[in-house]
Amino acid sequence: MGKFQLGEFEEVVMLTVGVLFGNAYGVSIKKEIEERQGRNVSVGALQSALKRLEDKGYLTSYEGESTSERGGRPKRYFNITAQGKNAIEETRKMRNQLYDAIPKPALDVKIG
Amino acid sequence: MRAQPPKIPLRFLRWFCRPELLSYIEGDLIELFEENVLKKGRYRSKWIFMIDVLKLFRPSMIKKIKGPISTFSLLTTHLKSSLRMIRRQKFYAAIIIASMVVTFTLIQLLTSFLIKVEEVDDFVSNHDHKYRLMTDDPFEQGRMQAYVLDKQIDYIRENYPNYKDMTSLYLSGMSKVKRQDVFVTNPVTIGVDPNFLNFFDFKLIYGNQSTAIAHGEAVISKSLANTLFGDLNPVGHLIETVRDDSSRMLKVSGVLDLEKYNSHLQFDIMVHEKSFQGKYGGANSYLEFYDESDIAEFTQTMSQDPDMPFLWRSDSSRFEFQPIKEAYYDQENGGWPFIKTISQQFVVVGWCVAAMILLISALNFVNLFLLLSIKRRKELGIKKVLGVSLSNIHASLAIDIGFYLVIALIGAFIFSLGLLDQFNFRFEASLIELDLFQPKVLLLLGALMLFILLAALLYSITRINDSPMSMMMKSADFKVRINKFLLTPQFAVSIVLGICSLLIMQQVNYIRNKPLGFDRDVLAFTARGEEGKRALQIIKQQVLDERVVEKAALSSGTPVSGISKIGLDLPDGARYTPNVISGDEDLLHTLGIPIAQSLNDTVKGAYVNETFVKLFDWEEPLGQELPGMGGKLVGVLTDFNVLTFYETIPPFIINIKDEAFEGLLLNYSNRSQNEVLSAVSAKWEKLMPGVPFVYEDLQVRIMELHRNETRLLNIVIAFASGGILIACFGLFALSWNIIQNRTKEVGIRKVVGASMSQIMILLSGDFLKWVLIAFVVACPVSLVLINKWLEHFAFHVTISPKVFLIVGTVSALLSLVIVGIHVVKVAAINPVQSLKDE
Repeated sequence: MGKFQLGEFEEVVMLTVGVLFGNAYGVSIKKEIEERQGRNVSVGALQSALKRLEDKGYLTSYEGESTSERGGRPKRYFNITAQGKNAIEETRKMRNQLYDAIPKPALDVKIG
Repeated sequence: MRAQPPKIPLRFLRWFCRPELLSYIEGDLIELFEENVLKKGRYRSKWIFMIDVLKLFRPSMIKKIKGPISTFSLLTTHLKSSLRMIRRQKFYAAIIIASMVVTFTLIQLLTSFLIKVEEVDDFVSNHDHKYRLMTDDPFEQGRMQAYVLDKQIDYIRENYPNYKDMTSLYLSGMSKVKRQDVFVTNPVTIGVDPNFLNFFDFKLIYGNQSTAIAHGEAVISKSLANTLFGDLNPVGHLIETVRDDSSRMLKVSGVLDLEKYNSHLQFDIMVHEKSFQGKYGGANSYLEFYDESDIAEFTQTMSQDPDMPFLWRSDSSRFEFQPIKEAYYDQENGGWPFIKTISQQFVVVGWCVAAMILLISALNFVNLFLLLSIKRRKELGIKKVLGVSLSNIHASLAIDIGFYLVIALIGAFIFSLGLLDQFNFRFEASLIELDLFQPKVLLLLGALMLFILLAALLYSITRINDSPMSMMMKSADFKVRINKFLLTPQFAVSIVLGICSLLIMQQVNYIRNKPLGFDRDVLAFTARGEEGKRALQIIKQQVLDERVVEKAALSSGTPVSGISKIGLDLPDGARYTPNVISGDEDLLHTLGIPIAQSLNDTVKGAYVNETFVKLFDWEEPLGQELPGMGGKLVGVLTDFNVLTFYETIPPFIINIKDEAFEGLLLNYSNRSQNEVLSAVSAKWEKLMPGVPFVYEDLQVRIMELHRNETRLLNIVIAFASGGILIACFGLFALSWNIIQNRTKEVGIRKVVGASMSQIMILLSGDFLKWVLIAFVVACPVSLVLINKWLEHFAFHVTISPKVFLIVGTVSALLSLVIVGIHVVKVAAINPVQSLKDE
């Protein structure tokens, strides 16, 4: 890891942006996370996570169309960059490795 | 209509949010809001919108502070440079801080004291409606006394229901209070009504508030409890009280920490009014009225009530109510040992002195700070060139000033805490640590700091607001002339303080030493009762036989104590009230009062003073009958002072009789007072074992009657020296600066052939001129002030020009010495060195 540092919430945001491919902007990301994870996401937390990820170069953004529902304000769509893709893959690999390293009995005990 | 998102949160968002994100975030928020309106209703969604905005207020969302140079970082840099400046300019910094520490310490101590004085009795609840009952003094026309007869109190209680509460306190003469071997002589003892504690809102620290004042029990002050009981809780223990020659056991029922209360009352023991009888047949009475009570009407009906008992009923007999807050300033009624008073004049002088110190120090600070900033003008010039805004430069100056002030304030806190005991002792104050930091004092100090800060800031701004060019040039005498001008008022104020303290000192010395018309070196012993009288007679005979003293007499009083005033009616109906004391045939001789004329070989009879004779315009006074009193006048005494220096000499009668008296006077001139005392005390112990040895020194008594003057002297001297010290600091720094700048000039003068003394005269003369101007201004001011003060005395020193000369010379010499130190240093430099210097 080291090279790609992703917080738990940041990872969720990255993945959701991936899930929403092409339609990921503030409100849709927020709703998607709330729906899938059943937890409340504040605009503030989401926006600062998005900004952080963009600063790290994992996400790019572009300005979308403006619609009347939003009081005429444009949407800001997010896409995962190549570097971002590496980051989530790295995190996933790391997680799988950790998962595989757990001896079976430990999990059994836990389930039992 | 479509729902609109709430305006205020939106505006807030626009204010703080990063501009590059603002429109998207706003869009998201509005989209969510509109959805929420449909789902959750308008009210709730506004709420949610607001909370979302608040949650957005986080560091990553807040826009960067604008500006070419960040104000904050500039100020931090400036704080650093202030510190560096203090380190580099140690000399000036030390002088500035030292002078401000002196100022703040003086001001803090003085104002805490004065504010405490002003708050006396504020702790009493409903104090606006509580009054002290005053009656007309039958002995002195127009004077109101805080003393009401017992029968008047009873009459008011029975016939006037229209007040809310009433309480009385009696002086109970107590000569000693004892517990085991520990005793205290002459404790101030008062007898009070049971409601006394609640009336004045005194809360006991030990004992039951509502039952403490009861028959046979006593409430004692914390200090007395400490002396008698140490750390023990005294409640329930017995104390022995000795009064005259009888003693009684009282049970301690409570302890009161009087120091905690800022009251005009002071006492050691409080008993139920019935425990001992009131010594004077009357009491100090206090009343509380209802909000709607008409006090004027109340006094009027009381004064005109035909059944109201009076000592003597006359046209002027009347009552008055004095608000209790005024009791502390009523010096005429301060004779009771349980009442504390202060002269209004003392308070006024106190504030004046504080204002003067303030003036001196503000000028001094402005002056010194300007010197310092002149040293930094190059730095300021560079800053200006670099485009630092004016407001930033001002802010940096303010930081500089604030820095000094805060350091000085902290220093002053430490000093005033350290000096507190000394202050209490010298000014007879009872300040506690907490009083130094009461909100009003801190507020005042804060205001003072702000004032000095603004003054120094404004002054330096006007002085250094030059073009950067001229600021960066090295011109030696950059407006220093103005500084010398500022020095003058400082010196003027210090000289005023100096002259005043010298004159007050003269007056106090005058009180201490002026021939009074009688001898001051007299000890007066008192013993009560028949037994006491007999014992005194024996002691008198013994001391005369053993030649302990040359002169001794028995008497009822002296010209400064034990005087009775009697009201006498003249045949034409008018009244006069002479002062009377009586004594045996040795009295006049012992007191050293010269006899102007007397009937041959008559010793016994009535002697009067010259004022008395003048009152009746007698051409041949001897043999006249004493008007209203009867008895023949056998001698006339030269006038002597009575009581205080405030009063003109009143008519006085000394009755020489063959009787026993409760007082013994010993004239100890040319003897050691201690030897006389120990001799008398040995005899006393033998004749009256157990009776407290009570005596009084006339000189001490006279000074006690003039405590206010000594107190004033102490305060003015202390603050005058403070003021002069501050002014000297200023002069020291200023002269150093100016003379340093003239090093080269001095070098040239020396090369051209000027002698050392010529240079000295040249440089010092410049300063002397300003001191001289200050002196000229100060003289009339102090003359007016001191004349105003001396008006209070019937007898006072004449103001001699010598005082002015002394103060003038001293201040001139002082400034010469201060300037001289620098001049000598500069003049001694080899011109080769000083001319090389650039």
